[in-house]
Formats: sequence, structure tokens, C-alpha cells
Amino acid sequence: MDDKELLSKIRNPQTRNYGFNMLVRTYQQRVYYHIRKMVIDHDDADDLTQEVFIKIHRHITNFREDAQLFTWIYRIATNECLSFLQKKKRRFFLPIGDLTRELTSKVDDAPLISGEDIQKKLQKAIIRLPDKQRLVFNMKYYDDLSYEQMAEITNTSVGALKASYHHAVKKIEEFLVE
Amino acid sequence: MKNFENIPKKLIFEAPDGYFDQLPGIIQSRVAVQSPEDAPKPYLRYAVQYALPTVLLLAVVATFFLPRTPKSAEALLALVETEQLVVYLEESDIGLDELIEAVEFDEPVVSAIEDEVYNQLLLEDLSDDSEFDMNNL
Repeated sequence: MDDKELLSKIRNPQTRNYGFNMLVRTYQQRVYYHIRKMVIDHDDADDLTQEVFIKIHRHITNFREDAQLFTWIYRIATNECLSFLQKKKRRFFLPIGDLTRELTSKVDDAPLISGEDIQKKLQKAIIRLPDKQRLVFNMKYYDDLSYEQMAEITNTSVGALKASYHHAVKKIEEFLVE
Repeated sequence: MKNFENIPKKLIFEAPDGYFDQLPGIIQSRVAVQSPEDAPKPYLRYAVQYALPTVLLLAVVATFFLPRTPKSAEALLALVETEQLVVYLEESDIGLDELIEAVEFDEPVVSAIEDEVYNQLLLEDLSDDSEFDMNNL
């Protein structure tokens, strides 16, 4: 079922529940992994994923189709991630370094994380980037999104995103040789 | 390892077995519980925007300007058209803060106002671009 069909099912009161269920099934993995890469912990990612879909449900009737559904959903998920990380820093008065340390230790200790040492090392290097740069790196490197899609999601220019990704790659390469 | 692109691209994160089979049902049940109560209520917005100041104004009028009137505040309220009160409020110097101070709310009214404000914040939050100002990365 494509996005147009999903939206028409959701907008029809008779098929709203079915349409929304299909939307969740279509996008749940992309949303979950997008969030998980930012918050690392499964339980946090689970909570945020549910919140994202509840927000989508609440606002989808107002969704204007001047953006793709997929980028709109990514945008909500991105906003939830950044708000969560900011709140976490504020709530515990954590300096940036402490949150980085907490997320890094989860790569080693938290359940539901596998992979070779070098892949974990790469993940730890990514965690050391500032949140927004990390987000840009993840969307480009792991999700293979185009700069144009990322620009739509983040409301940022393609040039700024290219520069951000370039900086992120340089920093990661420096972190990897430390 | 200088070039990270030599590292095989693999996501190290996993979800629990069956997680994506169960998630749609969990979300659907949460949405079903929240939908009737949490949906924005247009009548509540009008209540906050017009009826609440109207009631507050009448309470103030009844308390300060008509202390010896034989008619009750309810009877006075019935005599005044809502539109007239709205116009009066818009043109008067009485602020909402002053009106609110003059009236004691009971718990359900406070809760209804908070719900309305919260719904409005969510709407604003969704259209807020501040999180995405990435030009200073």
C-alpha cells in the first residue's frame, strides 16, 4: 500500500483504524531504528517510537501533502529524539560529556546489541558527535537518505548538510585512530 | 583504522524477538484509549476564549458593582448577550489575569483548561522548527 492509499484510508472514518495500523506496520522499523541509533537503549527507543506514532495519529488529519509522508514521519521522530536527549541532559544536569559516556557504556553493556568490536568502536565514535551532527551522519550513512530528503526532514539547506556530514566523517576518522 | 568506510556497514542494534509483530497492537490500544479524551475539543477552545472571560466578568460585576442588587448573578447573566460581553471584554482594560484572580476554579475546570493548553502546545511543538536549525552545526 503506498502513502496515498494509506492517507486516504486514514482520512476515511470507516477505514481509519485499518489505515493507521497499516501505516504503523509500514514505518515502524524505520522509525524505531532511527530513534534507537540516537538513544541507544531499547526501552527508550520503544517509548519514543510509541510516542511518535501517537503524535502521528493525533496530527495526521492535518498533514498537508506538500511534503512526503515518509519525511514528515522522520521529522516527528527526529524532533522526539532531540527533545528526549535535551530533556535528559537538563533533568539530570548532565554535561554533554556525561551523556556521551552514558550512551557509550550502553554500547558495551546494554542488551540487544551485537556486532564486531570494530562496529561497536564506530558506534562509540558516532556517539561522540554533537546530537544534530550524529543525526545527519546516521541518516546519510545508515539510512542512505539523499541530501534532498534530509533537507526536507531537517529544514536545513543541502549545503549545510553536506558540510555537516563531511565534518562528521572527519571527526569519526580522528576518533577511530585514538 | 583511518578510513571508516572500510568498516562493514552493519547496524549493531537489535529489537527483541516479535517486537515488530506486537508494536502495532500496543500503539493501536494506546491510541484507542487516548482518542476520545485527548482529541482537541473545539468547544473547549471557545469556552476558554469566550465563555470563561464572560463568566469571570460577570462574577466581577456581581461582586463589585452590584452588591445590593436584588437579582442574582445568574439572572443577570441571562440578561446579557454573549456577543455583547465579548465586545465589552475586547474593548475593556480589564486583563484576564485580574479576572482569573477574582474567581476560584474547581478541579474539573482547572483540569479542562490544562488539557486544552497541553493540546495547543503539542500542536505548536509539531510545527516548531527550532529543533532543526542546523545551519550552525
